[in-house]
Amino acid sequence: MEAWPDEKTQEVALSAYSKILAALSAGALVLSLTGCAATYTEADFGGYKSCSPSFIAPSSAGRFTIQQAGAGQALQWGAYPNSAYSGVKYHVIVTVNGKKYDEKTQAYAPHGSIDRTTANKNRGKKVQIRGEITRAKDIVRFTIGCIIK
Amino acid sequence: MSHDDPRLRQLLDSLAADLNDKQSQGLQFSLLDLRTGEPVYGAPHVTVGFPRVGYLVVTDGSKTVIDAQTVAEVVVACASVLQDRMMDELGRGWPELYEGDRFRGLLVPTSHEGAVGWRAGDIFVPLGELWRSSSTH
Repeated sequence: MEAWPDEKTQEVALSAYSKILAALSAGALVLSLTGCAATYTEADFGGYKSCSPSFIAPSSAGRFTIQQAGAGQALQWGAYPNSAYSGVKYHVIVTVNGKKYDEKTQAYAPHGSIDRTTANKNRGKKVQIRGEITRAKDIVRFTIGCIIK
Repeated sequence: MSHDDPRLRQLLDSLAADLNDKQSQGLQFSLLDLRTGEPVYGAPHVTVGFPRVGYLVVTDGSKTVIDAQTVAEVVVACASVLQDRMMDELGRGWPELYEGDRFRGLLVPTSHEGAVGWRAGDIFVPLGELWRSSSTH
């Protein structure tokens, strides 16, 4: 997987996918699409919110969530694009405090968890889930993140 | 924890036996020491990009870091990761405990007084004995 652009200068492709951008509001969800001619740079998507009790990305592109029952508890996350953005291959990298924690390549929408020990050691730090959804002719990228409680 | 610890090897063998669910293809896994990049169990894999601390559970299509120290902690954490993978493959909870036809609960990996196994409520099934019981699915 290629490196993502810096989170403060995420590129969001427009063209046929302008509705993705329209679906976004301040929050830590970024969706972009490669292969389009026109691009748009969003300067700032706002600060990261707490993972607890849950972070639900503001998007109509699907359900992208991270949840944590309470301080120091394990986290669960899921990235379920709706049918308009689903794909044939999903690749995600999960980082905790900037360190790679999990990597998945699979044919179905990904979900996972971060164990309690790791969560407890990283309270106040950021968990970030970056994914690529390979579709018929293009790739949708997403990033979600929140602060571990 | 020594990689040559016979108890670790025995518990991971038992875990592999439990993963051989008759409804799945038998989930294969490896466990790597991220300090050395060497396999503790199973085949070698690339660990580039992961931190040089803890262990890495590798299955077909996934690599997950576990942060654990003792043999029991490592095996329980490993089992937890693999339980998620099994549930993905089977599309249902796994392993499930039944009493007759009545669902009693989802078994979760745990260690108890030195023993590692699966627990649901007051039921404890030692690792490697999941399929010896007709009440687990």
